[in-house]
Amino acid sequence: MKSSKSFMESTVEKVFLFSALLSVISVFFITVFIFKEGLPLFKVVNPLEFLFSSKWSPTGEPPQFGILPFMMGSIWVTVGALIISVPIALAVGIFMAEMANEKMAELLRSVVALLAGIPSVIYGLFGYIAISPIVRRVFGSPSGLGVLTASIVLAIMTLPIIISITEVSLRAVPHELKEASLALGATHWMTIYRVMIPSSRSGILAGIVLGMGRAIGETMAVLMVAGNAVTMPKGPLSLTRTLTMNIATDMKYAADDHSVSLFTTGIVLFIFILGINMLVQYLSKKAVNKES
Amino acid sequence: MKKIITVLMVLLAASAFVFANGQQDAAGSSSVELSFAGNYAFGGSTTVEPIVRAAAESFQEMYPLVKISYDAPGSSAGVKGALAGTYSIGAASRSLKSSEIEAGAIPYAVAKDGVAVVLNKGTVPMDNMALKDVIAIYAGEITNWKALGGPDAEIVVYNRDEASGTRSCFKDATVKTQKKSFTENAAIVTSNGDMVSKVGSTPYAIGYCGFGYIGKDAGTKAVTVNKIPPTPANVLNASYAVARELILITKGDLVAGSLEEAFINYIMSEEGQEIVAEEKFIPINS
Repeated sequence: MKSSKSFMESTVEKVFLFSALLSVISVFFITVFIFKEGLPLFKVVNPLEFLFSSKWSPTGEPPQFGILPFMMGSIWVTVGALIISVPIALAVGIFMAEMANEKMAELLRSVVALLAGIPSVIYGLFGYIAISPIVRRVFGSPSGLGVLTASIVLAIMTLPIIISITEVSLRAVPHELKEASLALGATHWMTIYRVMIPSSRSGILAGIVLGMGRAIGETMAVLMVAGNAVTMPKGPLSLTRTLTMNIATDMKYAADDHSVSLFTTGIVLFIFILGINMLVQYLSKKAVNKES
Repeated sequence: MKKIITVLMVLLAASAFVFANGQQDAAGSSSVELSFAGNYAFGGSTTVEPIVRAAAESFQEMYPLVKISYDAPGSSAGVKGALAGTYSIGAASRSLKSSEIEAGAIPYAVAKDGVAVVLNKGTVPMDNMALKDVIAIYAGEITNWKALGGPDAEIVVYNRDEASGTRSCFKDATVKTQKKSFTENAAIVTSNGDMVSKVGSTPYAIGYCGFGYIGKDAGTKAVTVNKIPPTPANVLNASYAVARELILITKGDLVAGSLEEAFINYIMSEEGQEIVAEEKFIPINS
């Protein structure tokens, strides 16, 4: 009986270890694979030209691979999304952590969780049906598609991440700090923006950066609302194509160097995401250090 | 514990048996003439999609054990898929490039078609467009309907992605004839269906689609080009500006007795060509 118990124990342990290894191995293989598939492009195309040329004509004669318009597109929509979502998300997060009663906060929490669970294609549909006509009418954009519409859709998609992390970080602020501030005669609002927010800053920033990662990696929703034109974005109403959209649009028919160039686009995206993740880890470590 | 292992072994053996059996089935059926079975993936052009889907439906009625799927990512993807073996038959709405023929792609023309210019019905009053104006719009030289005597509003240009055979035919017949290239400021859509619905729902929009998609969206209207209406008759007498052949593609020659051969023969048959006409395309031998 005892031996079978310890057998179970060790089996379970091995299964879990294997699962843990599996995720590490997946990351490793994905990285190796993308680089292996994408790097050979630099035999044909100068890396500087690939990154900083704005001419993308993979099926032209001669083919040209410049992904600057797509990088700029990704940056435009991501920054646009954050400009819209950060103030709203901070407000909601502060409200949930500090102002709302428990019932209200609970309700908001489940709504935010629901928002996070909606598939991105639904956001895309919503953006196309509901947001693009508004952008067309209010901002006089002829097609109603482009950077602004994509930013609004992405802003809604990043809200849940930033809101929940803001709330958690605010709740993690030691009670002593808050009580001390209130005891010194500061009002509730003063306490929030002079004490609570500064002391949870790293956590909130980590949330924002995480939201940024979501925005930059999103494909389906932006594909439906950004217009997908191969052009350098010139302003908020300009049509655009992001790195992810470029991979998704061209993958199905690309051959030879063109196909390789999409993996190289993947490398660039991968490096963007890696940078963002490292920033998140750094910030959350800082947040934890401060707490202890 | 032992019991569990035994059960697993039995399951494993059973599944191996089932899979092996399945393979035998597939092998057995291809040797018997005129009775096909199994799953077949076709794919490619979104223009050809209605023809293949309708033909596959009646084909599957003749051979109930056959399941044919059609995936529509665009003509170039159809050729690529046929060459890579992802599709047993690919479909394209443009002629093959020399590199594709060298790689072993063999085309079978199954229908003729034209590319119609479509406008948003509610906001653009024109019923006719001069070909030179269409070229100027798609080259980005005219950007306001006012220049063409229409309302003072920016033209919303819709274009197709580079995988599209419709795009490549339209390009050859329009901007390329004047050695120009497509404007960058066009929103890109990825299928004919998407094209007509976006043009229909976006004010002041212009786009283009295969004849089979004319009238599929209530908000979209097809216009005459140089006063020539987009009809099969005008494609056949070569008066309409943008015409092409729709093709099916296999890698290498057809194998006698294969499903691919039977399917292509079926589309070329009288019954198959009736389907082509029903879907508003032009039968190949007319």
